[in-house]
Amino acid sequence: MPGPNITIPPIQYFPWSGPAGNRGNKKAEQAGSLLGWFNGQVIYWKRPINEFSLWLTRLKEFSQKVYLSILIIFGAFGLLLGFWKLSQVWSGDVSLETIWETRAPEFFLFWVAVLVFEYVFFRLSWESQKQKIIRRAPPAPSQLARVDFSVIAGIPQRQWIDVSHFFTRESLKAIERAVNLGHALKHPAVEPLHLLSVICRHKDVQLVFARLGVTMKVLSDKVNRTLKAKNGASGGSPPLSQGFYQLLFGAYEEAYRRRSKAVEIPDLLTAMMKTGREAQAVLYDLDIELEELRNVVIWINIQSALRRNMSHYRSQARFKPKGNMNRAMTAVATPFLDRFSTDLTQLAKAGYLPYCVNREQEIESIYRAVESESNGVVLIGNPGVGRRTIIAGLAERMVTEDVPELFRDKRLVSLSLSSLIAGASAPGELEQRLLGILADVIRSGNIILVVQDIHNMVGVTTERGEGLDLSEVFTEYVNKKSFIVIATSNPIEYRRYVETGALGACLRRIPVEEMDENQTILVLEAKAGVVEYQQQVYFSYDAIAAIVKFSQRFIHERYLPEKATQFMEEVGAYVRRTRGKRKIVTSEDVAQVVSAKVGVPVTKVTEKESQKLLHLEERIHGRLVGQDEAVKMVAESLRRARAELRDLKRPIVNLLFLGPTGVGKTELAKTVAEVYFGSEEAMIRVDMSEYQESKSIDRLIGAPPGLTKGEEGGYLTEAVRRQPFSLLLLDEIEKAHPDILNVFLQVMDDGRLTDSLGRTIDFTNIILIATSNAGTPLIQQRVRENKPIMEIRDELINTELSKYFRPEFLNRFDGIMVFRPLAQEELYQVAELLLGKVAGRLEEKGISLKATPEAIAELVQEGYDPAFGARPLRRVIQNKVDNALANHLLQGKLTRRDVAVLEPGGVIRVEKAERL
Amino acid sequence: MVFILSAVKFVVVDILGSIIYFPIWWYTRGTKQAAGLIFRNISNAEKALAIGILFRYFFKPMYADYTKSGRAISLVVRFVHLLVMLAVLALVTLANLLLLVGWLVLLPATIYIVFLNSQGL
Repeated sequence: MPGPNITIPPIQYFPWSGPAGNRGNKKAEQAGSLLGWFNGQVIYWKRPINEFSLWLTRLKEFSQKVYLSILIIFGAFGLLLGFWKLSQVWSGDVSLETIWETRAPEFFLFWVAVLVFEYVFFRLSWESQKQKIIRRAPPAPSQLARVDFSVIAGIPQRQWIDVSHFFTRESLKAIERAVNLGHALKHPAVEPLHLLSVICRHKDVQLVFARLGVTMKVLSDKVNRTLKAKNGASGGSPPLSQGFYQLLFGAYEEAYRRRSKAVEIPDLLTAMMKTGREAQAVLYDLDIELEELRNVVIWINIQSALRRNMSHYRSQARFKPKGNMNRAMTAVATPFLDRFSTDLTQLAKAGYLPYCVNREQEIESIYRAVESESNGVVLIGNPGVGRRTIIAGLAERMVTEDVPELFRDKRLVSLSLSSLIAGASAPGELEQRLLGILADVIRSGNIILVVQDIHNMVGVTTERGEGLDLSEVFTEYVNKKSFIVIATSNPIEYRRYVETGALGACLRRIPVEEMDENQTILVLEAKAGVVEYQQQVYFSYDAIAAIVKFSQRFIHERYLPEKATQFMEEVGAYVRRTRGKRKIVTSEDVAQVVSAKVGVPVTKVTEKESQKLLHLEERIHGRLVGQDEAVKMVAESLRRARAELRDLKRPIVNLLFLGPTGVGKTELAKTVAEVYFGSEEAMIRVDMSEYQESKSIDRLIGAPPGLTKGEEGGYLTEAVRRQPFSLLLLDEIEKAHPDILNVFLQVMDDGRLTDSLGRTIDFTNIILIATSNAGTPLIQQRVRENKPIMEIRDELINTELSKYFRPEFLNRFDGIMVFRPLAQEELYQVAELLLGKVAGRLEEKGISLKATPEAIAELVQEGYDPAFGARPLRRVIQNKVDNALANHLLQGKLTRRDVAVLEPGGVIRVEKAERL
Repeated sequence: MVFILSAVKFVVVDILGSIIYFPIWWYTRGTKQAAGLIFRNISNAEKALAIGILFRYFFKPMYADYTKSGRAISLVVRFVHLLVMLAVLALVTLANLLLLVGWLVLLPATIYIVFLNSQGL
């Protein structure tokens, strides 16, 4: 069999006029018009498919049915007749010999009927044996190279492979129906599209489309429309088009690659995606990709393989004994051990353990380690990577005895540390219990001991114990090699407690890595059936892929495949609750659950939202005055992020806002947080002026372990860990120590940061905005000189900024925006906005606030200070407007439904509402 | 007309061919199929009776009783156990082999009996 490392190149096609020496044989001419070169073999299609051959096939099937029916009826008649005669002869005192020697036409017919039934049995068995099986041979590398037609022509025809032998009856039937359809529609040739129209109705194909989330009606409508659009001109039986032959060969290739025994209907569908242009367009139009289709076909195969495995498992599991005793009867009862343990093989036999998929490698390494004279193994992996499932898989294999000699006829028993420790209060009791357990294990001799989370054994002793802790007692026995141990631990605890001790030395490490996305998809596909059964919903392939993608991207600090399987259950429950039973779960459902869970929009952009996004600038300007360039740049980067066109391995966007104080830098950051993350609260604000020394890095990413607060993690890393979907605002970044800026180099480039505890914190879902006042005098001066903002920016980067930041730091920003000092007319708008906020607060008390233009102009006049931007204005409004309003309110001059009008000089005129 | 003739020819050839192939199939692929089934039956029986395991652990005392008397008793019990199991397996094998023989003689026997019965008509 070709190993996974040899990839067989795709089929090479050669047009061909038909087998040599046909001499006008019409059937044979029809037979070949294409040759293929695949895996070092010439492939061709010999079986004739035309009107005559179809007619013959139908005739053959019909005649066979009639023939067999006649034979069966005759046989049944003969048997009945024979029995009837026997009952007649039997009456009385007749010996068997007499009966045997009796000659009667009925008996003759009876025996002929027996012969006929033997013949019928032969016909039926023969028919089922006719299907050939695709055999795989490892190809020589030279066979895989591309060839010329001359090479193929040199290979004798008897060595060619007729792929039609490998098609199942169903597939052949579908092909014949496609020819009939082409004939009925009077099309000039039979195209893959005809086949698509035919196989749409097949149950396997419907299953595939259901998994792809395609409704059959949409599909058949599209197919029919395309078929109708074709010209019908020909009479008689249409020949197969070149594309159709390619499809047939392609289906063979698919079946070969997925190690199937025969070419089945789904293979035809997959091949269609590769060859038939129109059929391809139809499928492509329905948002189906070749890879996706292949995966779904594999999925359906996984499910039938699981069913086959299950029945094999059940048939083999009956041989495993139920109790403690092994089949060799060498074991003893283990009453003491039983008190503190669970028998995993018994659970597996009863079908209570989760089914283990795709873990052959790890189980194989357990076998290897145990067989190579080691005392035992410890599976080291993070929670959720599947250590328990691997052990369950081992238990299942032990039930069917599909294991190496050392594991056969044994029990897998899991020791429960909690019940071992619980209630052991007397001095030395704990150690005594463990010794009793181990004595049971050793005496019985048929036990493989599982100790989950073995690090919990380290350091456990009873009060006034003898100075040895549990792990040391355990190690002593493990080293005697009298039984096999399979333990589990996680990397952090293992490193901390086990590795350096005696226990670490006696157990062989087997790392269990987190699964990659593809493997996780396979696991989900295998487990989908259970969730589907429980929740009465149906997962599409898209949904499964989305679950894996989103769980990897948005669920941190937990590991595949567990986080994906749990997420799948959640999505299943959500769809059932919101949309009811018997619904197909789509990737959009998954996106909805994710969005609700983490508060980041990942669903498809709706019409309403796309309008919102397209007019983002206007929305931002609702809160922020001026700074058009900066607003535009931010809006663009948000649109990019929402359309998922951004680089997923970096933060959503890194921006640097430059400009004097009070011009709206922080305000813009807040607006972004609200627009993208749904709330102003989704903002982590770090005042970089607090990080002026290089030592303060400990506060940012946590102090190294061992130091004070070493276990706590840093301010920044903890905040991002808890709130990975947020805006990170680095205020006054120029004040930070250069070493600290280096930390951000990595954040901005790789989207991650490792804290002092060794955890990798994910920064790929944050928007990083740094603000700086650096170069303010220059900005003000250049603005006064009416220089364009871009020019100011370039000058800043080249002169002022290089004093504070290194070029590589500045380079990592996706955008550097200069905020202009606010002009007086802009300040007028700001004043309006601020007064609007005051009005909003008054509104809650049922009072309206208006301001005359003169009053606003006066406020602006008083609050205008080029050096401080809009900040003084806020103060002025607070002093003049808020204070006056407060006095009016307290004096009772303002009541509900009144209108307060702000006039120049800070005067509040009250327009009293009409009395009711 | 040619169409119908060739169709009739096709059907007749199909039927006649299969009748000729019938005995050949019976003693080639048919026998192979039957033998496979019987082999599976016997190996399942061996598995169910755990005879391989009994052989492997013949000298290992039962119930982890490593005393001298324990070993002696175990040896005797295992011997008897093994004998019984072997006898059962032998029966199963015999029955299955008979089935195979039955398959082999079934066809000629039926033909012979048909022939016999045709005599007195």
